[in-house]
Amino acid sequence: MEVVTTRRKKTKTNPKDLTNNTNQEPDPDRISGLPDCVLGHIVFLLPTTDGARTQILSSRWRHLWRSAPLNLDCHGFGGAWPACVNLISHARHAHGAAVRRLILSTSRHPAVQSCIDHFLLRCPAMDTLEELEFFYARSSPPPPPPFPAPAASRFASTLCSASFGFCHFSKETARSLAFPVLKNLVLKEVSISEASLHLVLADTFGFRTFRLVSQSLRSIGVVIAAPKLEALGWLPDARPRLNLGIDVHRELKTNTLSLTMVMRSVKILALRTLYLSLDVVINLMACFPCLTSLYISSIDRGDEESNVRHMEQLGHIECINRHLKKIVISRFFFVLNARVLQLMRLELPEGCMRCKWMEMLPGLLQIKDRASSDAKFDFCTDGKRWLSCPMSLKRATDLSRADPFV
Amino acid sequence: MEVDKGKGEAEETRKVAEADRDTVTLKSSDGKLFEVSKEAAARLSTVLAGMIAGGSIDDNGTDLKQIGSEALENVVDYCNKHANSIPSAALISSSISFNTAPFKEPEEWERKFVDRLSHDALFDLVEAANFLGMERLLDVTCHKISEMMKGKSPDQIREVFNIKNDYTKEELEEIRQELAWAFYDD
Repeated sequence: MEVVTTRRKKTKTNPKDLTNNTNQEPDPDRISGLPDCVLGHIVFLLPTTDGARTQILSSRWRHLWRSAPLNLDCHGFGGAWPACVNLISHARHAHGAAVRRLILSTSRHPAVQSCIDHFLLRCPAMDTLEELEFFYARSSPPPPPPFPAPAASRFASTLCSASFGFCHFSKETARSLAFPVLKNLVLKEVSISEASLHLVLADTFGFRTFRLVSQSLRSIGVVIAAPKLEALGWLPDARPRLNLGIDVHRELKTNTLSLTMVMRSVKILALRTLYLSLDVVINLMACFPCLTSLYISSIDRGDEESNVRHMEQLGHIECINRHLKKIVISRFFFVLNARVLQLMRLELPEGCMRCKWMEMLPGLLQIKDRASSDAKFDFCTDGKRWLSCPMSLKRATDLSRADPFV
Repeated sequence: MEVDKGKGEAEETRKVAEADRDTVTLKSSDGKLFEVSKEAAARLSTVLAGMIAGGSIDDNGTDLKQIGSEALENVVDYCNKHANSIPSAALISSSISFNTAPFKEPEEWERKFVDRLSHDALFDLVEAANFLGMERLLDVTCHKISEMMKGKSPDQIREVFNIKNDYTKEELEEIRQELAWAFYDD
């Protein structure tokens, strides 16, 4: 019997088909023939106003937006808070059904605050929220504004994905949080007061601790303790103490971590540091022995002498010997003897690309003597990425990927 | 398959052969046969998983009368590509219940996969994915369609998808007023 195997032999794709060239015979209306559940999903995926506007397309589309869950995307308003408040109230009023996804980027204007408090806390449509992105405008001067306290615990039980940015979690808020079904969590420059030793989180405004209870957490944006955790980063470095729920202490003076326990579940680690310290990197690698990818972003090379002194330790680290497959370093580099290394990417300031130092790089990296003959070396400039924000919120929230830091 | 074999015997032979194979054969509405990895088919399609578990897979080609050969070829292609892209977020997400997991952005290869499709092929694939209960493929194709609608005016959307506006002038005016808040940037 003749079996057609999978590869496509003919390329039928005509770019004109996609743009629906009007000179050609008009295609039949394929989209309106799709079942309600499929069309509803398409409408849900649209930004809020785009989704609402589909009602005007034809009578087939009239009821779809209202019967699909609401995707309330208030991102991109910047400081235009009246527009944001307007959108929330209008969309809510016109839609009426449950909000599944809420993206709220807001200023700290008191008028917005009261609207948001009311909306987050009292609106029954928020009862089954699954995805939440909540951040205040970054331009706000410190101290960071508080996250509406009971709001977090209100959605906690239904949230699958949560991002919080540029806000303060009070002790009470932090304590009350339990996310039984949470899979992705991003905390971007969030300030949190001490509530538990299980989790400690740092931010630019000051170092505090934060409690979070979750059995299902797999991937996060900053720091966390969870039994199934696979990706961790960007770890901030300039903190007096880093607590991963496993008592990892670091002495402020020596800038090192002493370990009482290792986390074998973590495969991907991202570290942001002011001064590159090999001590810290080595200790982290010992702490997470099964790392396959390591991202380091540093501004200064740190204490070179001390870094060189610790080189020999590297050979004894399990993850270097057996697991580490990818290293991405922004701004500075160091040499490793990783045996299964597949990729080492160096993201350098733009000026470096033109200077003589570039020519010395292969030698400095000891590429010739590398432990893994399969290793690929990439050099690229970090360009504006570093200047603006090494890890934009957009990228930080893209945790659906197996490796969120790619 | 010979017709004159004893029915029970043929059935027996077929079942043994089926159990040994790691692929399943699918037959499109126009009679073309496609082979797909049994593991990928069961993982990505709730309908095929049910058929495999229930033993209703036909060695001579399981009839999928609702799906044309071009769409089925794309489905099979997608399953095989999916099986080969390890590790992928999609794979991880497949272990999570789709009902509770939030929508996952398509991966690069999934974007490319749907980008190369013609307008008709895209809709054939959406329908096939829906029919076969392929949540991930449905997500990816719906995402592509929503990208084609994003930021466009209603007129532009009608043009792209050839949607006929069947509202009366009065109805249009009424909806426009109701949706004034959503047209603020026009």
